[in-house]
Amino acid sequence: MSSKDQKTDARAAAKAKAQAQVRAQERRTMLMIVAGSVVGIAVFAGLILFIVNQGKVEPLGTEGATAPAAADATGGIPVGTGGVVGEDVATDAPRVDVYLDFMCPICNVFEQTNAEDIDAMREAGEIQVYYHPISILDRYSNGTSFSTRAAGAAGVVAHLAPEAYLDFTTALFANQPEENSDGLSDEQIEQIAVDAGVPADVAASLTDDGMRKWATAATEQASIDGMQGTPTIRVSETGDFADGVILNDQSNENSPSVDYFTAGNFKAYIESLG
Amino acid sequence: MSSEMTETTATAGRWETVQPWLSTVVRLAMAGILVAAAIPKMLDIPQSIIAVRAYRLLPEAIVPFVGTMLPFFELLLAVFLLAGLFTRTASIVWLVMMAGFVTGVIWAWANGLSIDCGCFGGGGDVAEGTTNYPLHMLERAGFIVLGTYLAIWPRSRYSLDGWMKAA
Repeated sequence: MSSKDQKTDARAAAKAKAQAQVRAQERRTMLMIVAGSVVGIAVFAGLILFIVNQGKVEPLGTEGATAPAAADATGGIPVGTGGVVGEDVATDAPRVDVYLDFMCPICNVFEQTNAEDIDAMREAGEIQVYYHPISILDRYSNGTSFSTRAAGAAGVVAHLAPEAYLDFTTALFANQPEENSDGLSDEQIEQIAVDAGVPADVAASLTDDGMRKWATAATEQASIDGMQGTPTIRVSETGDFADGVILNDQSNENSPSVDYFTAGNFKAYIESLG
Repeated sequence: MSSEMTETTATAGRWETVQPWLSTVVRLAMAGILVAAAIPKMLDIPQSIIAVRAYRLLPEAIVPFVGTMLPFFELLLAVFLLAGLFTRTASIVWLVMMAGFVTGVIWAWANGLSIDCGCFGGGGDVAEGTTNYPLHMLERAGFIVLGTYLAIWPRSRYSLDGWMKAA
């Protein structure tokens, strides 16, 4: 092999190497552009969704948004001494806020354990009771969002059939579906409402979209107010929501500890408030 | 001495062969974990926001934003890992994210918050006593091992990185 051939080989090799480098560089540039575009599109899509979501569910208290007429700014539905939503709600009595999700089994336990005591104290005007039907367990109903549908239905009943609210929500708990089932269908909820004494025309409107949004907004407000899963029980000795403390709140050292899953304990606690 | 030498070379050779395949498996596993984490959040954004809020770590003003963007970010990272593009950077981002989550869980634990980590959607607060913090931490530790491995050995089969650097 002559030295000239060797030189040509070396030159060719160098040229091939340079070309390979250029190609690799081109691929690199292309992938950078693709990567940049993917990032850009994802961020853009996220922002759009964020903005759309912000507009979709208006916070509680937004002018013109659907809400049960009697519900307050915390998303609480007051039940009065006569068992009717918004009528004869005791004043000058401790305020009890009950946050519940109709899919939540221990909410049902709370209801079974304390409903009678709470009803009795409410009827006697010893407490003001605010129910917060919320939806934190939508993921347990195979995509049918049972929690939101049930909370929305409770909102509609509170709004249009206030005297049937307690019977309807009690019946929803009595017919509570299993977690990770499809939940109750809209038709089943309607039937439960009719059986609980909700007028047929109201029962036919339980799927109201605006009220479902109210339920979502109320859930958001509950979470802002410190709701730690359901059931959450918040008691205000003065009757003013702002003075309330959530019971058994481990993150708050001043939170009273009340084992309200044992019958009588919750009532005893309320009575101890004097 | 010579036999020892051959053995080391053989081991090194075997590692050379195994490593890129192992890296591929790790990479795809990480992408799968991210997708599994992102999908339920994507389907229930309000719950994702509540899960973020439950840590009581971020100011309320940015909670909805973080809760909404988190699943997008996870999916985005999954895409990069799936394609094997900028693998080392992606692993480092993964590790930073894990550091954030672990901080959150430790914070929640230390403050006595009874919350579900929300890692795979859902989350938020759970009934007192049902939070399984040690298990969460163990799971997190596993995820950190995966990320660390990939950050050290990002070279893998079937990756865009490989295609990009090929001669």
